[in-house]
Amino acid sequence: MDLLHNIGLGFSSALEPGHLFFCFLGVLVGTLVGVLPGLGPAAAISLLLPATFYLDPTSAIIMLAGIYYGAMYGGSTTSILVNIPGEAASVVTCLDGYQMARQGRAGPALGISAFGSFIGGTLSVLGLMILAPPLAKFAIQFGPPEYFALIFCGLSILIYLAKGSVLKAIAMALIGLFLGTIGSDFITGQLRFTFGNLTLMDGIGLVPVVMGLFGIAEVLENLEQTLQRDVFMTSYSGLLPNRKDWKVSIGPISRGSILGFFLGILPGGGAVISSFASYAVEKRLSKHPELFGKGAIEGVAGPETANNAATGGAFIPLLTLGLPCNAVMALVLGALLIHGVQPGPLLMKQNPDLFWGVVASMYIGNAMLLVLNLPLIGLWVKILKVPYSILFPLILLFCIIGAYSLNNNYEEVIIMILFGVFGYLMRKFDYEAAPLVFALVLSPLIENALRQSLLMSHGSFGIFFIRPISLFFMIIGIALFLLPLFSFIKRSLMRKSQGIKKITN
Amino acid sequence: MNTKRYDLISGLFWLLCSALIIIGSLHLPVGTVGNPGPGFVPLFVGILLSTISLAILIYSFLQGSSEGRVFWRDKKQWPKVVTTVLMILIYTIAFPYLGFFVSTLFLMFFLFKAIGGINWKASLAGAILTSSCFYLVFKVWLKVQFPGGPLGM
Repeated sequence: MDLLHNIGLGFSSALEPGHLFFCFLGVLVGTLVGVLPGLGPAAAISLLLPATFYLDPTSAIIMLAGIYYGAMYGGSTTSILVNIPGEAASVVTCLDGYQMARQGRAGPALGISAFGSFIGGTLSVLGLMILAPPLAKFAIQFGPPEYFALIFCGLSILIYLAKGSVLKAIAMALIGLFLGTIGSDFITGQLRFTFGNLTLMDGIGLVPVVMGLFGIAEVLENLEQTLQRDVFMTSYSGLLPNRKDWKVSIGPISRGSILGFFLGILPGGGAVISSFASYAVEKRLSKHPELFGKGAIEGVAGPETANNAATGGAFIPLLTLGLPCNAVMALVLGALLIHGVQPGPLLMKQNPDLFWGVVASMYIGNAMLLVLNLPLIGLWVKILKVPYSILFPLILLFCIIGAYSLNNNYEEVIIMILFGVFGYLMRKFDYEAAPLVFALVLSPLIENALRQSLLMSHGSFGIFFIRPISLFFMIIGIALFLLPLFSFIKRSLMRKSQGIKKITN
Repeated sequence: MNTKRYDLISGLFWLLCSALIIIGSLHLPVGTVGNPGPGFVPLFVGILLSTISLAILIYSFLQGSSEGRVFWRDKKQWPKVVTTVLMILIYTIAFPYLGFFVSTLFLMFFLFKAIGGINWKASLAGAILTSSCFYLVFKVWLKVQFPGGPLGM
């Protein structure tokens, strides 16, 4: 009955007028950035982070969470109507969503993605409510070796799931770990790599880095190419999917909810991966796989449900372990820390109103989005028509002001611009930003855990392998590093044997 | 330039970075494995990074034929990217002296006109409108401590 009591507490907090307002504001801004290609939830949250200094922590987190799942709704609109994914997590929605729009079925496509998102979103919040308390209880037993092993395991999952080269992903993670060591050492107070610079003494902030890598770099990349934005104007009067649509979508929606939720817990772009995974699963299970890519409603319902379900899952590691699993969660962690709230196993006990308030607000936010999205689609389409030449100076100015107002320090703006250029070049050289951001956030945690573990064990790395929980995470982590290596060796051996066969023939 | 060259360049870059990280951490007290000091983790990271960059280099050599790719997607557009970066850098350095309102006005006008290619009347109107709005919201309402410059705004 504890759960019911807590849910009641959460709703009474989330339904306070102030919290309702910030929930609404969050989902509205989220939908807006989801609609606008070239501005994602990570950039939007970094822009609004300084503004949350003035709010109480619960309102701040309610709003930031709203931006995150709101963006998942908005992203589908542009994928379906314009064939431009507003969000990385909506890339696969383009495949069938846009085809449906071309066949005059934009309405049902938009409708089913809104309903799917709603169902996936609420089910994942339910999962969060049920799973988080026992997980937090379990995590209280964690000492430094367990935390080290867990973060190591998280990093290896992220690297394993990286889109491109594993080597490049590891390099990015190492750079992130290094950047995280800049500033004063937390045990001895020794300054590291600061070159006498006052700004660097506090360490490299997450917000300038994220805004640079995701905001500025994105603008620079877009400036290089002229974006084509032909909005596919079709009548989308009948937004409600018909009975047949529902019948074929109900399976993808339920599978997408479960898949999205569990993939969302994993580190790395949970929403992105789960949408792709859901599409692949639906195509394999379908009796008519040949219809996929030609306007199959299952190809819209599944991924759109999954990417929303992933947002609920993504909160679990943050709220129970204090570990963010993607860039957006890292920023939410930053926001919590600014307000003096330490996320982790004790959060639920120490700040129950915040924890349950935020979770309950996600139910309410999902309902708001459903109401907000269906009638406002016309407005979003109009916003899409705002030319980029007007939009990009505003995005740049927002980034600059956001980075400046953190500490009223223009050197942080310069750091942001440098990371913008770095991120732009990284895209050209096929490097991903996610491992860097993840490692940067976790660098102090993993360093602390490593050093304390080694102190405990008098210098023996065996400590990570004798304690059962850390052993478990270490085995998974090491296995994930070895898997790509094995497949690489296997592939080169096969190539060699084929070469020999060719020669002998 | 082909993709092999890209990996070669980035591999060399990381190798250089790792060398700098290793040298920098050796200047710090590294400590021992039983009692790690502030330089311990950076040194560890530097060594791992040098290994990975060598692996990237070796892999780029092992790659057989690789596809060619241009660095700038559109030859006409790249000056825009460079100019934009320079402009926001100049803006950041100048605004403590010129004040928030004036420097934002200049930046917005320049971005609308020169980069966005909007005609000058609309650019000017847009610049005045955006810098006024940002001034009112951030400086007057949210009370962000922007430097005022000679005009005090």
